[in-house]
Amino acid sequence: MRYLSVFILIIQWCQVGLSSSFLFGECILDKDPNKVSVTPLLCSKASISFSALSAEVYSDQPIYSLMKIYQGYHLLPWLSLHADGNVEFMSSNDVSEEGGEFKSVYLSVGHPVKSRWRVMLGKLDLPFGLNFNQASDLIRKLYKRSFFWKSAKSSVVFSYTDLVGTALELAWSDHIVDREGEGAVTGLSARFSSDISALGGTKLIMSYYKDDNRLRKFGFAALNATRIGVTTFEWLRYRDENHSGNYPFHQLIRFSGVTSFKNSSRWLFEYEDDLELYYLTQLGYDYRIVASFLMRFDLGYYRSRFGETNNHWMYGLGFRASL
Amino acid sequence: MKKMLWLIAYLLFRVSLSYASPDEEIVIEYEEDSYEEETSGVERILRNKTLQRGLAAGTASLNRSIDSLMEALFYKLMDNQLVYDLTDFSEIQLGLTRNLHETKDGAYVVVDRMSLGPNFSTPITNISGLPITFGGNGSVNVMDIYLRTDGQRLVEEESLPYWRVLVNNWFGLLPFLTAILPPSFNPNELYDPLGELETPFLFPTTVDSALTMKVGNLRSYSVDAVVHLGLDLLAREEQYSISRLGQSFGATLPFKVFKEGEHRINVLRKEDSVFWIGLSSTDRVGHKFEGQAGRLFYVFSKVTSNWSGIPAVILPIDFDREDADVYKYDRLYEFDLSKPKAVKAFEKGVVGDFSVADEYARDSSESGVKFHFTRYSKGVEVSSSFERNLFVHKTGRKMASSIREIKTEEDLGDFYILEARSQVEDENLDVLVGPESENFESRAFVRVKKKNSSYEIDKSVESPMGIVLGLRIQDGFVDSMEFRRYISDLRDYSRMPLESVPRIPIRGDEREKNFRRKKFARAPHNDIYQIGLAPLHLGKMSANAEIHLDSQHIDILKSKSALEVAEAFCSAFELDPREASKYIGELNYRDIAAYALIPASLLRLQVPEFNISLEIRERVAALNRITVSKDPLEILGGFEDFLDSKYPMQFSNAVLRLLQDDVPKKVSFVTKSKGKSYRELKELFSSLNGRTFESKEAVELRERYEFIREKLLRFKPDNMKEERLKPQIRSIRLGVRESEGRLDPQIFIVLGMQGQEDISTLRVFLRLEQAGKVNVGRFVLFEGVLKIDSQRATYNRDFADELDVFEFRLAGESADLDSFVVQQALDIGGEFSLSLSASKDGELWSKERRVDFRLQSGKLLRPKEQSNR
Repeated sequence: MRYLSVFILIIQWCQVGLSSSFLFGECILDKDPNKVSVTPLLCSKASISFSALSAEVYSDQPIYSLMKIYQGYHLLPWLSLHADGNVEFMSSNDVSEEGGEFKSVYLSVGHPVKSRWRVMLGKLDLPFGLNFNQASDLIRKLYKRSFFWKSAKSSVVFSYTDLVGTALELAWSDHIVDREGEGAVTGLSARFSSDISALGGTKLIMSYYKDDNRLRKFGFAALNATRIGVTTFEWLRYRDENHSGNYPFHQLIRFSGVTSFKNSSRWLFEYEDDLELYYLTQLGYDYRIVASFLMRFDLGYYRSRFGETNNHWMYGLGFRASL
Repeated sequence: MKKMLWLIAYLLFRVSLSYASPDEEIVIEYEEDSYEEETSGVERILRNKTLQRGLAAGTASLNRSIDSLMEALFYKLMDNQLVYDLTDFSEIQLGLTRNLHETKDGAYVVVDRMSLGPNFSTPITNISGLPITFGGNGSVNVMDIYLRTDGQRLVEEESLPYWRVLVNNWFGLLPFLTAILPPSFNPNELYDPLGELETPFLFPTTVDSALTMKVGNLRSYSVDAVVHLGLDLLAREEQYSISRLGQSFGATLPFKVFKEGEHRINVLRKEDSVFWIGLSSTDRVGHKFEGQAGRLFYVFSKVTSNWSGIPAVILPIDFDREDADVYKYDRLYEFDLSKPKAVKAFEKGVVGDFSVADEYARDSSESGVKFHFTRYSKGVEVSSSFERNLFVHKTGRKMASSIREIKTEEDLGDFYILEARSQVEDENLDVLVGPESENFESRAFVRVKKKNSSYEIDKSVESPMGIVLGLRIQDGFVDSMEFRRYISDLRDYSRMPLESVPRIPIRGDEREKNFRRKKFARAPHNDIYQIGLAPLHLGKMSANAEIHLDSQHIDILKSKSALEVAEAFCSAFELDPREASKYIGELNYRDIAAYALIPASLLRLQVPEFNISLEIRERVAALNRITVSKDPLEILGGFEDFLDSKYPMQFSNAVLRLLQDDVPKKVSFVTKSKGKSYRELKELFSSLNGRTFESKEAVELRERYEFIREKLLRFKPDNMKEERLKPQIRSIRLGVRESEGRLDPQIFIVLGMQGQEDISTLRVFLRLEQAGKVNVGRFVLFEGVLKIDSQRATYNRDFADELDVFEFRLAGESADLDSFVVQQALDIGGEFSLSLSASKDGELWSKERRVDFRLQSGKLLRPKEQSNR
């Protein structure tokens, strides 16, 4: 928590002392960065959400609050500093958790819209797949396994792009946080993504990951975005030679969709199949009360694959305010 | 919970009543159509030569344009195959299929087909462990091919009994699916399942049944049979592969000797009482290699216990080569059934007895029977194909060449043609966007006289030789990048500037600018969630280029020196023409390397530098052979070699360079835009629809051989066209008018019609769609046919033509469209799309037109970021 507070203070100082312009939320420029200089520039994004869930497997109704902060400081057109962090709090008879962490803090070298090459250095997860979630924060927290996307503490990522729709990212880290108790490992990943015009605009993504703990991960994902909404499909398979389960690998299949806002509301859907644990289906509905304040309803169904947990329905309610 | 549901329902269906302002109008005017225009399709029905043969041999039409999900989920309902095992080695198959293909004016070509026949294959012996199989199949096929429009479908229901309307619409499921599924769902695919079952009984064996056919309708039946003797050269290796690579991996290399035959009778209703009957008979004897190595999966096979899943083929190698001797016989008669003699001859003719027709055709023209021609051809066909098939993506090239001697008997006298033909088809297919293909077809012919058993060139005709070069591009999913490539290919192929083809930006300046504005300050690790600047999806497209060379042009080609020819090819390949001499001298290392790499071409591995060298050398040699040969059959061989190019694009370019472009040629387009985003750009794309670019010297069919060929093509579903003069919608005016000062506005439409005489009532097909409050696709608010009385007023606009004006009201007081749902939807407002076509009799319909409009805050507006088309 204290690191996060210090970081926020530094950023505030930057805002006051150095920036010539501030942007919030989606941080969309009003000028073409190819034609005019827009730096120094600060992009700031924050949101806070509260969610509650009711399901028969919990003795009470878990409540979860999550604050997300992102700050990006563009010192020069080709040099920027990015950081994002979470502060979370959960209250439940069954699970209790509170704390904050930096998800990433890194330096990016390379012009975002002119340079084909970019290098990122710092605390940054290795690029892999898409990991696009439509489940509510609380369902994500309570049900989903984070180990499919491991976090890294020190990494370097090289990316090469054609500036319009195709990118290749190669990354290496000597400090990937592995399963609990097994310490950090060194690993590398590669992700190739390409945009095609099919179905109104589709991104195809292929990823590979390998570490010195003999884990290999393959993934394929597709993201389709049209004016109607965004639909994603993701498949990843984790080969772990030390693994002993019902299958010789871990596998996750996820299909999700979210419609665009229309008349202040939108629908969200997600289906997830974790080969070792569950089938999880969720339908959400967001209603925008005012511009930056959302109310959310959730209905979900959890079906256990091997019967460790009772199959059950979930009902959720939440609010989210964003900057 | 109940309250929450009410709340959600309220949020979804909140109604904000708004009334349109009376002073807004949308007016669209259309150019007059040429009545000679064909109803040619955006899609090709028979995709290639192999498939045409497949159709004759009784296999289902494959690889049609995919609206793939719809195909997989729904349309397959109409494709059924029943297999009944007779013994371990034999079975009987009954197949019923329906294929539907869009045309550029909104009509569809429907191909219903039934086939029934036995199939057997049995091992007869082993040679060194390799099984020798003997097999055969035979079938009877009946096809019913017709044009159908949405208006026709709805009007037809008026005359059907209620139970049939229910069955045709799958007991209400079809209109429901049409209303809720995305626009790519086409109800015509599933409409009238009984009609498909009736196919075997529709062949017109009597005059009465023939007269039930609609004008333009084509029906045919055929009997075909194949016998083959086969040897699988990899039968032992396959076992080895399976044990090493898994159960579902397989590799086969069968070699077959085959003989196949087909006897077909086609009946086409040309005009009200005029019918064509075409008889065709084909015999093929040859041998074939087929190589396959790959793996077969069944996707979603575990979803239910009754469904085997979608077969997913992963074939890294799939090639074949076939050589066959072909004998073909075609005969065409015309019958005017208003004449009694023709009736008698017709009834004999449809069952294959043309003796009476022959007699009457010779006797007098008053009999109503006309003999068009009989054509005999024999020749050799060589075809090969290679495909890489990775389930979601397939790429392949098919090549075919043939030489034929053709004798045609007609009233003007018999004549002989020697023909060489070469075809190259490059096709890519992926599951998201369907197939795209470039099909090059080159033909050369020599008009000859037969003396004893030898030929000599017929110098009595103006142009005894000719070459026709053709390129057909088809793509069901064109984006802006592909569009540029196709236009560039057409320019290269035809060497026509195509100056007025619109230049469509690949991404658009505004899009690129917006992309940069959004991307600059975004966290780099979140870039993966953003779609970049993929080229813009435009729609469907088909384009044709034709180049016609006559004897004079061929003489010019023959007069060119080898160096000049090589220079032209170098320029076509964008090589330095000064180095052309390298390609005409002695063999060099490039040519030797190219010969050495011929086996690699089976896997489509090519080294352009070597292959181009060989290509130029071969073309130069072939042209030289044409130049020095005197014997027509040798000249034909020269033409066969000359046209047999693996680079048909550059070949055509080089030939045109040699002729300094002074050749009749034309390029034509059919385009159909899809989607609603970036409409200005899609407008540019759809403005190409129906346009033709021609050289100064127009392309004309002058050779009898070409006329005969054109007539035969009329029996191909690809060439189906509306034979009658269609009514035309020349203008649409959409507006809002207050009804006597009350807040109950009438939304009215005024149609300016041309080509209708003595109409008291006009039938108008209407489909009104709305995007809907729930963002899952479209909502069809109304689909139906209105009957509108003529006001017989003159519509006085800029153009001089007098048009019949028909006005009707969509909403408001005494609306012609008496629909509560439409009224409510228009009251709520939003974006709408209105499709219209019109007909006098409910049978013959105009082109379908579309008007997009928006009702918002009391105003009738054009839709966002678009103009109408």
